[in-house]
This record gives sequence, C-alpha cells and structure tokens, in this order.
Amino acid sequence: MFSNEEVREILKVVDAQGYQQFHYDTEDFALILQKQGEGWSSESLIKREARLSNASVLNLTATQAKQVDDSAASGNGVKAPLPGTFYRAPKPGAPAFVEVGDTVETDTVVCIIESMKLMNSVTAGVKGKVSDIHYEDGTFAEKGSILISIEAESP
Amino acid sequence: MRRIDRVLIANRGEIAVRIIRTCQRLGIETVLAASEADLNSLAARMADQTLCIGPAKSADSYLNVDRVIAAAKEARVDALHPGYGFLSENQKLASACEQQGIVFIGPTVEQLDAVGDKLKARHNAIAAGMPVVPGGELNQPQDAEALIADIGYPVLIKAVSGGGGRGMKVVFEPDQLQSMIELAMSEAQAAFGDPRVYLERYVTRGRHVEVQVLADGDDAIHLGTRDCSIQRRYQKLVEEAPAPNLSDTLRENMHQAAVNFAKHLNYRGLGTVELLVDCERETFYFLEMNARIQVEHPVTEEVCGLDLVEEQIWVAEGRPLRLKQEEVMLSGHAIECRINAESWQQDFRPSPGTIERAAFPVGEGIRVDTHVQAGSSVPPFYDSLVAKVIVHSDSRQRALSLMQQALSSCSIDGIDTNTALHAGLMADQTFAQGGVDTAYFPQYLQALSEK
Repeated sequence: MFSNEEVREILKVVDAQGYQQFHYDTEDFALILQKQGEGWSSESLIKREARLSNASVLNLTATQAKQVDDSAASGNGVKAPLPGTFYRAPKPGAPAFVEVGDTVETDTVVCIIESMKLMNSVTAGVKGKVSDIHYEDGTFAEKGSILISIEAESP
Repeated sequence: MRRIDRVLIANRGEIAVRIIRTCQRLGIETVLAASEADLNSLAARMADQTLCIGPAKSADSYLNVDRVIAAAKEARVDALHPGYGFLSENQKLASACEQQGIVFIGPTVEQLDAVGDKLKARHNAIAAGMPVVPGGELNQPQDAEALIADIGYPVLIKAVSGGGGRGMKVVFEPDQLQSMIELAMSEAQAAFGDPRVYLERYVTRGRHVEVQVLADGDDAIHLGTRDCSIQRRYQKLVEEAPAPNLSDTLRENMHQAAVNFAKHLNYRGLGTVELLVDCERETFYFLEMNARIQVEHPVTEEVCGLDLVEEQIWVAEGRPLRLKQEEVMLSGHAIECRINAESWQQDFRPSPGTIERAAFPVGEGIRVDTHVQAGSSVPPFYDSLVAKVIVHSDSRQRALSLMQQALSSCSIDGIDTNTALHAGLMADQTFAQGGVDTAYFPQYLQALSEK
C-alpha cells in the first residue's frame, strides 16, 4: 500500500501528464485517482486480510445474543430501529422499563437501543400487554430484530 | 534509554491506523489489540499482527486493562500506545505497563493523576501561576453560598472526575443551585464513581483555545495553539491551527502558561493544555489538561511540520527533546473537519452500517486520516468518527476555500455523514471572519433548522 505522501507524488505525475483518471490494482492493494473539477479524489483498498494471532492465553468466546425465530414470535414485535445494544432500564441499577405482563400504551418507552454512545428510546407502538422479552440486557441487536413482543389489546 | 521495536496499539478506528502508519515509517513492528467487531478493520489489515482482546462491547475489550495487558505480554511488545479515549489516561493501565516492563507511550502515572483529577489539575494550575476560572471546591453542598459570593451567576457545576465535556451543569438561578448540586453529585457518582463536584464561573462568551505541549520530563516546548470552538454538546467538530484573531501578547502568554504548567509537572510526553478565552475580558483561564494525543493533532502537525506520534515514541524511549523552542517553526493555517457517521438533519441520529464506497479528496495541502475503505463496517458500539479531512495553506482564507474544494470531493456511500454540514459552515460569512466563540455553532445549527 502507498503512504499519503506517495499517493500525492503519483498524483503530481498523473496530473502533469494531463490524465483524468489513474487505476492501480494488485493482489494486495488498489488505488483509483479521479479528477473532479478543480481537485482530485482518491479511493484506496487494502485487500490484504488481517494476520490474526491464535493467542490461546486470551481464551475468549463470542457473546451470543439470545436469537429468536421471528416466525415463532407471537403478538406485535417491537423492532430495533437501528443496530445497537439493547438495554432494559434507563440506567444501570434502575428498574427495567417493562416486565412480562405489564400493560403498555402506544407511546410507552419499553427499552433503549444504544448506538455510538447515544441512547435511543424505543416505544411499544401498540396498546397491550408485554408477552415476551427476547434479548438479554446489554446484548447487541441488529436493526429490525424483534426485541419485545406485545399482545395487542383487542379493540 | 530503551529502544522501541514493537508496539501494541490498544485502540481502534482512525487513530489506530494513524499510529500504525508512523510505526511502519519508522520500522517499528505493530501489533493491534482489537475487539471482535474490528478484526477486518483497516488497522487490522495494516498491522503486522492482530490479537483479539474481546467482544465488541468496549467494557470487555478496549476498556479492559487485564485483557489489554495480556495481549501486550502475549505479543512481547516493548511499548503500548493507548491512542485517545478508552484507556489512554487510565492510571491502572499505565501502572500495569510499568510493572510488566512495558513502556507506556504517554506520561507517568503520577502525571496522569495530577491532571486527571480536575480539582488536582486546578490546584496544580494555580501553583504553576496559571489563571483559573474563579471557583472552588465544594466540600459540602452548604458551602456553595460562600463560593457564589466570589463567582457570581451563572455558575457551572463540574464533576471532579469528569472531563471531555461530561459531567457539567449550568445554573442560572440562585433558587436552583442546591437541587442542581445534588443532581450533579448523584450523576457524577453514577457516571464516574466519584460524587465530588466543584463550582466555576460560567463564562458566557468563550473561545476554546488549546496549546499543544511536548516534554521529556525535564524540558517542555509548545507547538502553538488550536481553536476548537466549533462544538456541539461539548463534542468538537472543526478545529484549526493556529487559533485565529488573538493579540500577540495574549497568544504568547498562553504559550508560556502552558509550557510553565508542563514544566511544573515535570511532564513527559505529548499533552494539551485547554484554555478558555474570555472574549469580553481579553483574558484566558485554565480548563483542563489532556495527557494524551488528541483527535485534532493533525492541524498542529501540518503547521509545525512534525509527526507527533513519532515525537511521542522518541520521548517514550527516554530521549531528550529533539527541538528547542526557537527551532519550532509554525507556518500557514490548517483546518480539520470531523466527518461523522450521522444523519445530521435528523437530529444527528447515528448512522452505523457498511460503507459501499469511500472516495476522499487528495492533492497539495490536503490530508485525510480515516479508518474506512469500501466494504468497511462502521460498528454501532463506538464513536461515529469516520474520517478527518485536513487542509493546510498559507493563509486562513486559502485554507477555507481549499477545504470547500476538498469536501466537494469527499463521497461516502452506504452510511449518512455530516459532510454537507461542514461544507455549509466553511462557506459561512461569520465563520470566515474567524474567532467565533462556543456559542456560535449552536446558534448556526438553530438557524439552519429554522430554514
């Protein structure tokens, strides 16, 4: 791969020759320089994979979020609006927003999804009773995954 | 003196890439300590070796001293670079490194303590002859009234163990004082494990100007100022070097105060003395000292022509400073824009995801520090910084127009970014005049949202 200084050097040569584009592609590294109005843009790609050590001393296991078969989830699912960490309470040590069996309104906050250090409150979305909580506190949930199921109140 | 041949980088994102780049240039072997979420990151692809130190959650990886030290020992490194954030100013990590015979690329444990505790930092600043914002420590909530007599309103309640913009509350009305103090104390306990707070005069119009210092344990020099007044909720967004529109006397006084402070502490390493410039009174006050490399270090590098990571490694090896103050040359003007993964028009909602394409500006006077390329993931577990676009030119005016040009060549697909927000600010008339205070940007955002 090239350092920033090397890319600028290549650019000087390419620009001086009057070219508009430059492509460099090898097994390990790719670079595209593209003229854009007054300036240039650069896209680079380091293709080489990481050299991962098999350090056994660290002895780590991946955290597993409690996965749920979405088709089996009954009632209405409260979905994660973006990927992040699922929290059941407003802050550590505080009581959970809801427990199974609690009644909720449409705008009751039922959990938090924390993403990039920002807390996003998630509301029930329906009026009814909490029937199931699918994720453990502090585990990661993908966007759209069903966090909590609510049995909607029959009209 | 101890030569550093192999370094453990205990950090992620753009700073990990940044540290690896300098190490590669210096012929130093690099070992990256990465969480499960970062094993395919740009830094991992660049490092000579990558060790997985835990799951994505920071508390179990980047913030875990035991795991970081275990990785350092496993990889048999000479030194550890903690980057910024995470454990970069953590005394337990610095101390554990010392015990294990690993060089911590940063100051000593005592120095981390001297400036990490905001009250101690304040006392040290006063002892070093630096002006501090009128204020004082609060041993009991009832003592507040006596302090207020000196400080006046509005008053800022700050957590002793806070920092980086966290743990602060402004009180405008006397009748809110007691309840706000109690609230601040319980929040401080929850967030930092230390309920102590202190009071400071709230400077209503202030510029955030910081001085970069570099020291070797005996001697200290400064590398000029940076202005970081463009902030949203205490998070910096745009920085520039040197700080514009300051009288020569004020500027030189700030330089000297910062150097004196570093010398007073027998400081070793890179550090930043953060000052609040009181525009109305044309004076400055000590805010805090950051005992680590900072996000915005590139603007200083551009203006003084030094590689600050290299300088950190140099003094960490036990060598004396290479430069005397009179050999430091500052030239031109540099500006940095932080490109974050966020939907700035939707209340700055974070936008994690996978990058499909990342094209960055390139050319004379343009520099981009990033950790992303096509296919990179921007995970939701950490901060939203995707890239820093930095420009350097011979004048501030030229730097502003170079930045506008650079931002127009910046195109990131797959996530939302705040690039357009920066482009607008760079074209703003008031910002173009230079020297805006910290109240400016929130007003600017407010005006934008009203359009």
